[in-house]
Amino acid sequence: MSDQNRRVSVKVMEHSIDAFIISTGGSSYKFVDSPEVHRETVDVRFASIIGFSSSSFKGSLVAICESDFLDKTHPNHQMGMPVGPDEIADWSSEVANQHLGRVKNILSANDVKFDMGTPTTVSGRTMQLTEPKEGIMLKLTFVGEHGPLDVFFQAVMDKNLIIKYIDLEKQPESSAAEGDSILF
Amino acid sequence: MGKKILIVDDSKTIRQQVSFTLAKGGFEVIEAEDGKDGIEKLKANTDVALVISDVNMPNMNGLEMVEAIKAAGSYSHINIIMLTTEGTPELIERAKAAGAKGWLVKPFKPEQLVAAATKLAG
Repeated sequence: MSDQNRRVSVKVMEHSIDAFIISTGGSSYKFVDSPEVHRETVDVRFASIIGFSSSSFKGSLVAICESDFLDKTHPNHQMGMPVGPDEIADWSSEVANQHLGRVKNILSANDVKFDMGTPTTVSGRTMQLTEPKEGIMLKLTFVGEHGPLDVFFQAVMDKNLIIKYIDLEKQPESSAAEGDSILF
Repeated sequence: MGKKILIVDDSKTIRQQVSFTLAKGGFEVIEAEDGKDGIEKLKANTDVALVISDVNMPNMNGLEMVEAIKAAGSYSHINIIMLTTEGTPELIERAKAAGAKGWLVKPFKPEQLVAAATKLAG
């Protein structure tokens, strides 16, 4: 991945996580770092993995956090409903899904297209992540009041694909932004 | 009892959020976990007035389910709204061509969801 593509990827994912935190009513999370890592063994409570692919851009996104983060950000609290182990695991998947959805919407508006898969959540003590062959793995770390949120971005890009300047607020005609409602 | 709405989403969290919001808006709500389950629930509930469905789901995705519903004579008249994290023009056009009547992007605004449901539940 070129330095330009890497800068843009980090910028888009940072923007997406900020939007997620805001949507859950939180405000105390900040982006710490985004080193390139090759092989990483991480302490994990919940990890959600979601893949994406196109002819020029493919990979996966892995979101790792503690159950406390998932509990405190869970929408059920706003509805006065309980949050149990099933809800925690399900919300972990949705965090990864909504994060990649935001990334997709931003990149798509800037002519980088891909299809999304469906998320899978695993829980356990440790997990080893390895960079994809001919690709890159970035580790984005966010810290805040409910424990760290680590997002691993594994990507393989066509060498001819160059993501130019990204306008984070760009909305192409007939697209829909977060919270939008379009009736046909 | 209000009009019956079928929620189709593989996320239990989203189904609970949508159900809670629509129940507060006066609707009766039933749930399905994916497109296949959604079609089974439609077969078993002939009084469903509106379907609200995610796009990316296992087994049968939301767009495939819309096409299957519109191809089936017995419930092809039911309006369908897509509720998803994605908002690209290509997907919206695909949903429109398949016969969906609306598109909402998660996380949704409760008042917009109720307004859309009220308009399209007939």
